[in-house]
Amino acid sequence: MNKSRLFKLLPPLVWLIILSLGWIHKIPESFLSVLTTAFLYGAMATAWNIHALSGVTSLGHAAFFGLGAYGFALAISKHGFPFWTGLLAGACCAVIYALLWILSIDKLRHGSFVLATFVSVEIPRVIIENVETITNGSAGIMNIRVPNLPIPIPTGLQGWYVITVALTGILLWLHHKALFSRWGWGLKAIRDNERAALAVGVPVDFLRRLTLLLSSFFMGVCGGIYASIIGFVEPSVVFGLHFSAIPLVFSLFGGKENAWGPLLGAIILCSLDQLIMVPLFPEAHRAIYGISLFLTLWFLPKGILAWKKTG
Amino acid sequence: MTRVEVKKLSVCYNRTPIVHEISLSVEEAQIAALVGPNGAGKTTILKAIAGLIRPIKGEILIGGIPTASLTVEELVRLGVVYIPEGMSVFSEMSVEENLEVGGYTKRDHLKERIKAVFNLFPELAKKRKTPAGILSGGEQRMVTVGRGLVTDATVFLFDDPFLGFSPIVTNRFCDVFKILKHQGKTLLIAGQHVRRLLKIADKGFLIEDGHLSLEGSGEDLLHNPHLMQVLFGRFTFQLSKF
Amino acid sequence: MVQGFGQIIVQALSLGSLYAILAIGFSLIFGSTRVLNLAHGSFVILAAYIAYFIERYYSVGFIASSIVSSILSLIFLPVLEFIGSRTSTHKESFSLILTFGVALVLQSFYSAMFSSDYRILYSNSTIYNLTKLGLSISSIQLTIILSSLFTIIFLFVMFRKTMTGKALRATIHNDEAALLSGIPVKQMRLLAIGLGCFATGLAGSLYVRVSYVHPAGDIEITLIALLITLFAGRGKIRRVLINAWLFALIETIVSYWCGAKWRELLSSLFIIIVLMGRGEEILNNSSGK
Repeated sequence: MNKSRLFKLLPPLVWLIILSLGWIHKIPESFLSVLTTAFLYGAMATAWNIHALSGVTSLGHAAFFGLGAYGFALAISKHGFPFWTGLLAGACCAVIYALLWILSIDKLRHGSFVLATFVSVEIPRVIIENVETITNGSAGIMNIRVPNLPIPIPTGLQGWYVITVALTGILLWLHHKALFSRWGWGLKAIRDNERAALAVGVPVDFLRRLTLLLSSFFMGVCGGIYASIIGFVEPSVVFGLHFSAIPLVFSLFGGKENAWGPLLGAIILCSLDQLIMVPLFPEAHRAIYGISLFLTLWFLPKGILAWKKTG
Repeated sequence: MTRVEVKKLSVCYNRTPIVHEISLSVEEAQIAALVGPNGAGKTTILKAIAGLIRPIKGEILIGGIPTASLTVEELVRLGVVYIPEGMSVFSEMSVEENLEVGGYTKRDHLKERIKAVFNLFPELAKKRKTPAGILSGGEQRMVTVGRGLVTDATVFLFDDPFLGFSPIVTNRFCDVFKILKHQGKTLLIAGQHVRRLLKIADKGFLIEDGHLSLEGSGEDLLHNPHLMQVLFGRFTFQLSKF
Repeated sequence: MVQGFGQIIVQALSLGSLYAILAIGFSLIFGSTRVLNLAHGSFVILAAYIAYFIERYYSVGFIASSIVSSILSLIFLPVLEFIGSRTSTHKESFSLILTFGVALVLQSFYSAMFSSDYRILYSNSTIYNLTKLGLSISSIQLTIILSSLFTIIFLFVMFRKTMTGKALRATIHNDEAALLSGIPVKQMRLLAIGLGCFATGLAGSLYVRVSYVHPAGDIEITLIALLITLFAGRGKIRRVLINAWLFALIETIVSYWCGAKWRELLSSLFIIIVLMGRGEEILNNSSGK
């Protein structure tokens, strides 16, 4: 009894410790920046995986990410929104697009769903590139100045670190619920056999749509945070293959059916990317994501955490 | 001369044994019938001879040549063709093209062989330019069988050839089998139409639960009480229609 | 008015021929391996780069460069064969994810090798005026139309008239029955992939003449190939050409009305519509069950 309670308390404690690193001034910038990127990517991967747990694979989450980034950038730099409302506005754009998914491609499964999501990234990109008066077209929005935050967190990189770690914490909790709560079991039933799940009364459509909306919301938030860290958005970047790929790569690498899997995948691969690939192959460092996708599908089909258990 | 020889053949599906140590042999210009209840392993034996399934034990010789290392394609070149049950056509291709593809391995005198198939199935001759996918079920069966005949094999392995055909077509089929036999071909026919098969067969094999439980000439087998019991049992009335 | 309409037709004909040649390789590979190759655009881009650099540094003409890039495109054959032979045992999403990974790797590889500059082959093209009809057609447009027509007619005749072509179609439509007829299914598959790679190489060397090539330009190409193939169905050579022309006509009309940039939206919208309409049918047929 005592032991299991302690075990339950452990993850939040670890999280608090990692969060508190943000207030320590002595941590070198480069280390902190790798960690911030890793946690942002980890948050994206976790958000993606909440949707993927309903048994479908999306290659189109860059759409939510990009819409979140654009919504945030426009709200902040054109309409002078405060930071949090800006994030919310970006996330709402993403959720609206997710609603469009639900209206259109909700019935697709397997290969056709994968294809439809892959294709659907192009639509917001082309629209944003073309509505030049509002979005500045393919040049993108430069110099996004983030207003001061009304909460006591450090400024600069440390502040971004705190925000991403906090977001990751929320997503990990949600992800944990999506695996082990009552509705999490419903999701598991859908993954295993959709028809059987429907037959035993699992609200298949409702759960799948719910996970998509949750996932798109947080993907949008990640896009907003990304835009505020980088300081500019450009359609070809935020709607690029890269941002559709990384959540998939990290989740598969870390293990889809593990609460920590996507985050762990992000931390390992992102560190590899930033610490080894970037210095060695500055132009082609992103190839690591494609290559690790291959290696994962070949050698660790259930992710690295599963491998640790069985091996 | 022995054309097909199966020695102590054992086959497994997903580690479940399906066929146990079956040995049989069929001569040149002979028709052999494989009969037995559903799921006894008849199709498995045919597929093993055609090279579609790899046996775990035993040996299969075609005209004295061991086939263990041969691919399906090489077996077709050797003259062994398996004609599956049901409909298996190239649905987007015309009837004629379907038959032509059957002659992929032996292309000389292809036209005559196709003509022979059209003589056998005049229904198809009328629809030679029609895509096979829009034919009726029975016609698709004819294309499937016809494509097998066009291969000009020496050993034909028919899996339930009469299924879905009217008695008239079945009669025509039996005539074809006899013609093939006179041409010196070897036929192994598995099927549910026990009486019909055993009547035309020179040899009959009863397969039960993966074992070979009876063998003999077609006529003998037909009157064997054990076979009657296994196959007809309480279904005597229904089967006697055929 | 009539003149403008005629010019639209010429424009659509050459654009459609380019699309057809972009799609035919994709279509052949989809037909024979059931892989919807999301890296197709990257393959075309590589061929385009090869043609670009060969013509720039060795100052050879179109024919030589297109032959070289077509032959070099055969290096993708083993990759596709590998992915294709694995797909039969997995779900189709698996091959989509794998080819997506290939696209990812190639994209970063290209930006390392060729930098992210936009490249195009300008050649002083002659313009032929058909004064009677009031039309004009450039030699590049003519090259595209002719090479595309030649490729497709070649494939069409091969598929219809030769035994190898018929065996290839048989393999595409029902590989189990093809095997039973003694067709060497594996070799047929290799042949189809090889033809597909070859067409991809040709497409690249044509593409670089009319459109800018850059490392991230692959998605647009993939989408067009995907759209035309999905509309045509598996193993339909003639329909690829017709659909490509039709789609190009729609695109040309839309860009006359709404501006050229909006046409990029069309392919994505059409793909989603066709997937919603009969995506399950096309893809389920493709998994052979």
